[in-house]
Amino acid sequence: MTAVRVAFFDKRRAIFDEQVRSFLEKAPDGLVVNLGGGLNTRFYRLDNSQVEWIDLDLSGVIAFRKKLHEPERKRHRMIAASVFDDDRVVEIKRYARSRVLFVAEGLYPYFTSAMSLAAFFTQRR
Amino acid sequence: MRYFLSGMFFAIRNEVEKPGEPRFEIGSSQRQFGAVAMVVLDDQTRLAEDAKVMCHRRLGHLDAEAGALTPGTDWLAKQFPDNQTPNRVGESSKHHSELQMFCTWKNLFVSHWHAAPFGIALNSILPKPVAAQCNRFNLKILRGVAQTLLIPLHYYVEESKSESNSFKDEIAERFHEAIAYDWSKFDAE
Repeated sequence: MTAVRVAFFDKRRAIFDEQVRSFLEKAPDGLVVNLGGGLNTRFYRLDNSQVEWIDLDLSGVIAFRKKLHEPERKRHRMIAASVFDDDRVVEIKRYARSRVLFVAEGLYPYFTSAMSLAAFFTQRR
Repeated sequence: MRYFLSGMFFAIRNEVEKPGEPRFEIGSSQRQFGAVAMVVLDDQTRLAEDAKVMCHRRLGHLDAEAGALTPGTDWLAKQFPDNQTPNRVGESSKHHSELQMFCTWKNLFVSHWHAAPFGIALNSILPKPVAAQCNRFNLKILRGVAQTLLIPLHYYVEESKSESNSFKDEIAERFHEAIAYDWSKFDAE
């Protein structure tokens, strides 16, 4: 069972990595917003030295992550907010580039359909 | 294998083409059909139909979620536990005892957070594995962290450490090492 789970998470990671890589080929200096990023380290794997990156998660998660003392990069920000938070949109827009990619790798499974729609339309703003 | 696929194919692409506005893309899949965005979002939540996925998501809520497996039933009509808070590390007596065991060495001697100089000195005289353990987080730090945070990290690291894969994530491995948690429980389930 462990092998299956490892394969699942690896496949999911590979797909999302590929999507972000593809985006960065088109917009090397774009903004990537990782919604519900948790302890995801995709930024470090795919950093092209130009991309602006925001990892967004709830305050408890961000606080925990900061205790892990990950390497500091100016282009990597962690924002403590909910995906339903309107203020978050304002915060993200501060760093908006010509192109923005929202990544939600493990976020929507936690929501009901209605919540997913709400998050989706919040992101549209 | 269903949840493999459902993880892949949720795609939304939304572009705001107003002059002067940044171009926004909301997406996370190889397929990019805006017209099916809503359906796809719905499929995402259907991951919950698989009890094992639910187990990953909210460990300990299997009883409540088992109903979602009943064939032909409307999963939305059930008491779907999406509003439940995920289990958090250290909040149950079971987790507490597990973590307490993990952190015994550190707690027995000296708290790194209150007496760092002594902690460093202690680490220098302890056997290497114990010293490494003492450098990890203590129970107070880890308590309250959602287990769902740790699961993907663990499996990414498993893959990163495997020799068969070109994927390597040293930062994730560092996170994994820094967190005092009985990771073997994920492998034992």
